[in-house]
Amino acid sequence: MKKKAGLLFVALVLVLGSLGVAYAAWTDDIDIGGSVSTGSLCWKFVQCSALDEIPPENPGGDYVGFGSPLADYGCDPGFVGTPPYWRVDKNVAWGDCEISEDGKSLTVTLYNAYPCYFNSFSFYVENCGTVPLKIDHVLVNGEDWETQTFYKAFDINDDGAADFELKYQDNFGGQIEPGPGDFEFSFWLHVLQPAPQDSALTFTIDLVAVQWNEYPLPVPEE
Amino acid sequence: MKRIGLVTLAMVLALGSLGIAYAAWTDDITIEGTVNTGNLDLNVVDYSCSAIYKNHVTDELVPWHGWCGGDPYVNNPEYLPVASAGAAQTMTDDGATPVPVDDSVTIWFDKLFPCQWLYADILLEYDGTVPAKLWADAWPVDDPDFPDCALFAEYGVDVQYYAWCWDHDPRAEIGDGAHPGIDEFGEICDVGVQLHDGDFVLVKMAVHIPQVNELMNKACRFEGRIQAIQWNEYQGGGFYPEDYDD
Repeated sequence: MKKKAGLLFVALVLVLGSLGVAYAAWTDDIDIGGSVSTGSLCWKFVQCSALDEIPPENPGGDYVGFGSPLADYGCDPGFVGTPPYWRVDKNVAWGDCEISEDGKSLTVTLYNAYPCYFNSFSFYVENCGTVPLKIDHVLVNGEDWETQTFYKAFDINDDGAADFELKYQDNFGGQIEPGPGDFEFSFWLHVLQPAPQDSALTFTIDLVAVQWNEYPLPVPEE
Repeated sequence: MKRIGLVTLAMVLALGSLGIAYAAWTDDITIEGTVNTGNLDLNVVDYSCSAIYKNHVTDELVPWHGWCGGDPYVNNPEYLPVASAGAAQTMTDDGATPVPVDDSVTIWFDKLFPCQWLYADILLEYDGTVPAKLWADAWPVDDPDFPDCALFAEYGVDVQYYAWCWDHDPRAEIGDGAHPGIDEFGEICDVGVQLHDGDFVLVKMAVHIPQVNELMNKACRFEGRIQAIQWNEYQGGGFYPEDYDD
């Protein structure tokens, strides 16, 4: 009896052993823990200036003499000729610009402007993201999709005559690398004869940048 | 298990490819622009009148010239009004209650007689924020009720205009009494003079009738315009917008 029980035990061990050989094998695993961190596309204004930004001491106009660095600028309609155009003999109008705290908005203002008055604004931008970007297009008053140097005359009061004109001529397709840079933009403003007196004439320009490898964006069909 | 992995990978790739096809990252910055325009604003702030009286008692001829409303002889029975001149704000004349017409002045010279100057002045204040240059012009009007302008010209009715400029209100200096004559304010400023905010201009019109009988009971009407033209656009003449092509 004792011998029989011993044989049965041995047989069971062998059977189990043979089963183990049949359903298992040695293994070794490696685990992958993955993450995707996206970059960012960001640009902002960092500095701006106006060609004529010194207000007169006398709002009615300081006589400063022809050629004075304080004198206003004038130009012909259509920005005919070569800048910086001419200086008149008085300091009457002026301009300034201000960048919002988040750098996303630049406010430019002309004060006490009059027909023939010319001023230009320059500003610098910075790529505040991690992805190179290219300047794709601008939207003027939220509408016109411009991808090239452009000239626009604005009839703000809808009287059929343009009140002021703007020339924008910078950097479409230009690539801005992340980090501080020296990318300068500028545009010109010129007040035309039909401009109404004592008025505030407004406009907006949205500058749209796209990741460099997607430039240019397809122009939407009208 | 292997199948599930392949399906997941395929979906990721498909979504990824969709993203590449239909979107790109963009970022906007905005320029907000405002052009604030100034103004030119020339206003009439006072008027002068003149009159010639005859004193009934002394037979003396008494000329008076001063700010309208300050005439000490008016309604004085001792003084007979003989001739008068002056300026006032134009009032509407359309049958309804008259109301002042902005920036419009009516000047009259009434019952003129030879060898006596009569005057009508307008005191202007410049309130514009943009410097201006002054221009003035006057011309006879073809009006059947006033048919004698040619006669006035033929017989040499002397019509003169003068202007004096100050950078302050001159009324205290001029005074309310006898208004000085043509030559008493010093240097005359001419058309083309520059005006700045707060400047004053006294524009005087003077008329003198020669000793010609043919000028009795005659009438001529004229119109005129005084302009402030932005200084940098002044071309030595009046500004007529239709002449400018911008």
